[in-house]
Amino acid sequence: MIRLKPSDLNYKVLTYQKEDIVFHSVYVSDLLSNVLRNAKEGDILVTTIANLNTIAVASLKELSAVIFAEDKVISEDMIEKALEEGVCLLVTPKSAFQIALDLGKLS
Amino acid sequence: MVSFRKHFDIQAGNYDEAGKAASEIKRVLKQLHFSKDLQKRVSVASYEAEINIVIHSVGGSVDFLIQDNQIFLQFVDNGPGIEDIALAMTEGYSTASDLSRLNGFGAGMGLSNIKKSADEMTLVSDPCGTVMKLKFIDREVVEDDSSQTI
Repeated sequence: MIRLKPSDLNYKVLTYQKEDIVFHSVYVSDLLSNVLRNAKEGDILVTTIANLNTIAVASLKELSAVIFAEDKVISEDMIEKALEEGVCLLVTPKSAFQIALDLGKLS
Repeated sequence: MVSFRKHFDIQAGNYDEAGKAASEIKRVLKQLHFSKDLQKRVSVASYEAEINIVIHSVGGSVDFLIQDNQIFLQFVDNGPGIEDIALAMTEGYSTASDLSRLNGFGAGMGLSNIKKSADEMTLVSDPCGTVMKLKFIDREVVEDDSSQTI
């Protein structure tokens, strides 16, 4: 179990999360079928796929958070659905690789 | 005997609504205290099958039935059908559009993900439409039962 304080990383939190994000591991993918197959409950997903399906998959797999790389535009609909489903969303201009490095330093 | 049945319509081309049936199915399984393993397997398969109908078909539906520790899902669509099922089952083979790729799907993983998740899968298809039947058994419940009989 790894703890991430959203404010520490300077990523933008879209779902008003104030508590620490507790995660097991990090899964990086832009293919939701791979996320469905391989991501584990409690993982953080790092992706550039930003649509309602990303939120639905994160909710189904009970991921601890989704971090959108490369400053992807996140719609109001997505934020609303994430709040409904209890999925924490963050966004940053960094690349997926840089995000993975940031998260790696925590573990 | 526990029995539960529900029908969901699935709209073609509507990515925003895709996954609604899958999440409702998961919610029911969670509420009825099926094992985490079963919840995960059914969720993955139902999501992929739902997305397949959204991407490839002219529209369809899913019937969800629980009978004791067994879950049955029947996905039906109204065409245009899968031309070569063996090829479609091959990982990486896809006929999906660029739009589905932008939505994070369409890499040819769906059917093999479904096969891997379900205990039984039958797929029948012709130009009239496709019918996919899936069966899942909650193994943890089976194990519990056998321990009780000993």
